[in-house]
Amino acid sequence: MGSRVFLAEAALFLVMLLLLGKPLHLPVALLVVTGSSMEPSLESGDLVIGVSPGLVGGVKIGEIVVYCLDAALRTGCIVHRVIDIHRVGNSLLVVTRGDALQRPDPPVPVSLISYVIVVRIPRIIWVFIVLLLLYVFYRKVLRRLWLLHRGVVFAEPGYIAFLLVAAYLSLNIAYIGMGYVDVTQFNVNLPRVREDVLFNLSSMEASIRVTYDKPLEPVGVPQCSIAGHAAKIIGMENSGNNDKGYLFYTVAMPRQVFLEEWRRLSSEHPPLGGYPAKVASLLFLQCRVRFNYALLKSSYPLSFAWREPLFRYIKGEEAVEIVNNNPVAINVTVAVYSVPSYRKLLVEKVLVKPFTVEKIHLSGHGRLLVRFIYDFLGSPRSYSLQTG
Amino acid sequence: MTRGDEPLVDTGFLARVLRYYWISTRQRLVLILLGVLVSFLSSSVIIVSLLPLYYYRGGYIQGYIGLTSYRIAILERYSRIAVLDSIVHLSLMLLVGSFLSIALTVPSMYYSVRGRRVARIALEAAVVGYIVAGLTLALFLSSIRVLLAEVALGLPVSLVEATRFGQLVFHASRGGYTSAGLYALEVARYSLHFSILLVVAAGFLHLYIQRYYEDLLDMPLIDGNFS
Repeated sequence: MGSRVFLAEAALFLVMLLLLGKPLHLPVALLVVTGSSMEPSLESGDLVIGVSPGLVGGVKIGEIVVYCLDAALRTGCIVHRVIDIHRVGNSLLVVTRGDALQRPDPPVPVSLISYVIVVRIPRIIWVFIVLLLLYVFYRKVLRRLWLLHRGVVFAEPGYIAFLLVAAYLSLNIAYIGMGYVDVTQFNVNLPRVREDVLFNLSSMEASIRVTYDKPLEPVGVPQCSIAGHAAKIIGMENSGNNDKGYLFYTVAMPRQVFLEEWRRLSSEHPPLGGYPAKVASLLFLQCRVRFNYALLKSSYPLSFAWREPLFRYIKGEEAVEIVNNNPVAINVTVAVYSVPSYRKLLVEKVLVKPFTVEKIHLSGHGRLLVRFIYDFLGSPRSYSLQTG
Repeated sequence: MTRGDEPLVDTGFLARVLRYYWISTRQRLVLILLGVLVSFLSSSVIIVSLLPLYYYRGGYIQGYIGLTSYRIAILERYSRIAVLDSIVHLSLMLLVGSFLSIALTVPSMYYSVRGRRVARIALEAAVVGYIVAGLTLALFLSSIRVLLAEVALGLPVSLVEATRFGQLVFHASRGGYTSAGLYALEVARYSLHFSILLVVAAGFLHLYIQRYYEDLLDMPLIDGNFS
């Protein structure tokens, strides 16, 4: 009987010592798994035996390891599987991931790996540990509490308190043990917002569609500006169902913005190259949409190109066309010469409005040379074409 | 058993359990003070446990958190937070421990106020009461730390989410301690000291019960012939 108690005590002592292995930095430790990130390989409540990486020849891909975020106190420890090992300079970085997780953990230096798991003990082992504990407790403590005196069993002074404290502690441990503190990261599921924008420079309008998850709900009218100029909202539509909603609004962009951009570029004299030249420009339409719980601040890029006017001779009509594909009006001087005498027949100044085509009729003059002289982004330019 | 055969010291079970101790005025005072302290601290823990300790108002996150309950609505949807669920689960021990410690220390206070004669069972109950109160205070301290320092201050009151063309800035909520929360911080500040004090007091009382009076009472009856 005595040797049985001794064996039970020794086993209990070994379990306790191994459980203290992690905080005491022992090379072998018994660890309790909490959480579900390693299921089905490891389940919450399982015991695992970890061995220092030095004793098993280092860390290898596929092994389950334990690393602690606080290496000194060995707190905040994580049991995950190694999925990759990188060498960065002189140090090795280990990438781990829980078997039940999609995303890998951030890489950790190999020096942070405290243990490599070598044995998994199913959580049923706790039943045996508790039985062992109760057996030793009964043999070493409980049997001595009650005394027999003159045929009457009574409690020694202070033992009632002792028993009640032990009962309370057991209750506490059992209750707290049932519900360990779950420190699963709390993620806020925020509603999503999707934006689509379509610019129409010929009508000087931008159409914006904002799709949002409920319970977001737009409040009031959006406010927009472009290059410091307020842009007017000329149309708005708001609709949706229980889960999703959308806001569609149209913004009128002021022409002044494009004139200023033209002037700005003109003062910079950008290199134009050969005819027809193209110069890229970028403006931002900034809008604010108020929602009941949030403010959507967006900056929509309006990328477009300034294009040199196009000049075409229309044979059947004996006319020339000037095509302006820009958001500002362009002044073009048209000089018409007879061929081959090169006598000036006509000089006319034409204002070609944005995104329009101007037509000049040249009927009854025979073969002609038409020269177009204009200013494009601060540079004087000309273009000639022959008719007939 | 005739009248003349009755033992001078009754050693029956109830007599043993209900044996009276004679204690000094100073010891009575200590018992009363410890009883008042336990009652005050345990009542504080009960009150603080039942009330909201931290609130969020105004923005995208609204509600309150407490030890025994929480209600957090993020954009009108009530959310479950795992760590708060754990604290709510554990807080049952706070309530059980607090009520139990008051119940266990009241008998010793009652006897001490009445006179110098205190039932042994009341002293033993007081030992348990002090230890339960001490452990409850330690658990309370841990719970408050996790709840207020990590969860309450860790929940983001303002959020910015990137969108394709900009950002969605959620209206910031105002978070703050309730009166009970501020009181809980005060109690928590001294919890560790009181916890140690109570456990040490329980240890001394237990030693006192075991060693001194019981040793005297357990001495064999001597017929007076010392020759």
